[in-house]
Amino acid sequence: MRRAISAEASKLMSLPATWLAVALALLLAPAIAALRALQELSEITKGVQTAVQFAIGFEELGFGVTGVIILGVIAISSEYSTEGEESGNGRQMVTSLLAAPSRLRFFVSKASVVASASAILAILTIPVTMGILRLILGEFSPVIGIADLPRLIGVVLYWTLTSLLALGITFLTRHAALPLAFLILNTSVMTVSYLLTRITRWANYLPDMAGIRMFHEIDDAGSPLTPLGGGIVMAVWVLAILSVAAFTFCRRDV
Amino acid sequence: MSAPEARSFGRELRLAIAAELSKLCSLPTTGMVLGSTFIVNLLLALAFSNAALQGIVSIDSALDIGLASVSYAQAGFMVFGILTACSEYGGGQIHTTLMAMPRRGTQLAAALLVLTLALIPAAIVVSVSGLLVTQMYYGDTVSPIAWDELATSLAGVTAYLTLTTLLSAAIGMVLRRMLPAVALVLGYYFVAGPLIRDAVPWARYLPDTAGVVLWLPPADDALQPMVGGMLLAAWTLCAIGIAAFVYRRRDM
Repeated sequence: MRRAISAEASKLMSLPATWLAVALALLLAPAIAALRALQELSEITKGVQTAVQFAIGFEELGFGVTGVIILGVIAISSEYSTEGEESGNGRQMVTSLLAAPSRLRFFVSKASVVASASAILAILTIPVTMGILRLILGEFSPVIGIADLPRLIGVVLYWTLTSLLALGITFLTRHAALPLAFLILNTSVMTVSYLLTRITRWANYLPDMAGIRMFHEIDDAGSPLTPLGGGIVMAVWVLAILSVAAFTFCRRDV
Repeated sequence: MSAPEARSFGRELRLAIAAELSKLCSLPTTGMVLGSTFIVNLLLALAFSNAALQGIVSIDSALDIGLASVSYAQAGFMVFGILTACSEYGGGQIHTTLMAMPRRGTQLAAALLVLTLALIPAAIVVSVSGLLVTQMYYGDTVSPIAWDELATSLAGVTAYLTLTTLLSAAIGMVLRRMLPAVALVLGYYFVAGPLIRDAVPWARYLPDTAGVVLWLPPADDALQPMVGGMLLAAWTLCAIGIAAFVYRRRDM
């Protein structure tokens, strides 16, 4: 199992698109936070408002999840994409399964590599984002103390679970375009899920709406979930999708 | 046997267009992506109509409600543009293409022209279907849509979708890989773009914000629709220019 995991880690790190994912994960949230902090600072100096908004930093970290979505998608789609004519139009998955014939073990090692990479990226991005806020806002910057630890853990969990969601969906579709488009669209400022909460309260139980509750309360969504409850709901979704993906993957022809 | 006659430029372009058209039609992604965009847009139009009827989304006229779903459906168009551009590079098809059409500029022009020809009707069908759903949903409860307003908005949304898709296709041609292109374009249009829009004043000159005024009611400090449209066209032309330059220079 250890060798399977290190093989998957080496494959993931050697993909060129991984570096795009890593760069997006590390830079998107801090960059947007910096833009927003500059704007808030000018509002404060103009006297329009006296303090920064409560959610600053956390909201941006919610958008930073784009990077790990890409990570989860490419980890799987790269196995399925057709290689060039020179290598006989093969798919890497065939070779992978020749080397690691136990499908369940293959699935678990893929998922654990993607999950741990996402968690590490989240842990790296949080201090960068918060540090930039402190740098720009100075005395107005939100104070992050021990009391915020659950929220910060919530961010890490949200990133990890979202990357697993992307991985599970890509295992089912075997192609990158659909999960990528769908998941990035649903990270946008006014997500489809959020729109659905305007129509039915049940949309608050969708994985992203539930998961974001772990660290950020969307004002007018009227979510009935507590942060812990949101985390549990998202985890249940992810587990369900991963189980379906694992079952399908173990049963079907490559 | 006589020596083969040199083909005139016009004939070469015509043949290239026919070839590109046949390639686009036979691509499975064309039907799949455009078809699912159409269906998703219908569902979203229904959702928006429902939300607006309950007064929870602040959109005023039936026209704007019917076109609101396009702000999501445009993702399908972007993916379509990128997939068609990158389909050449998936399994090395580009080698065959360039063997048959060695003049790269002509080939690129033909490909983009055919893409545009496919996009305009697709954009019209998608946006009109959303409007029809809204109209049927409301029936007579709202004031009817004025014809001249409708024509302007439809022309605007069609131009916007076409230009934005061509821009995405140009990015796909430069990057040659579907995944980074989709990630960058969608990440910009749906995540970074709206956030930048709120944060800095010069965002209105960027392709997404400049183009949106073509069909959505403009915000206070937005550009005039005409100016915004021209700016978007300039961005697109610029991207196509870069793509053409790179494409002609590159070893495949």
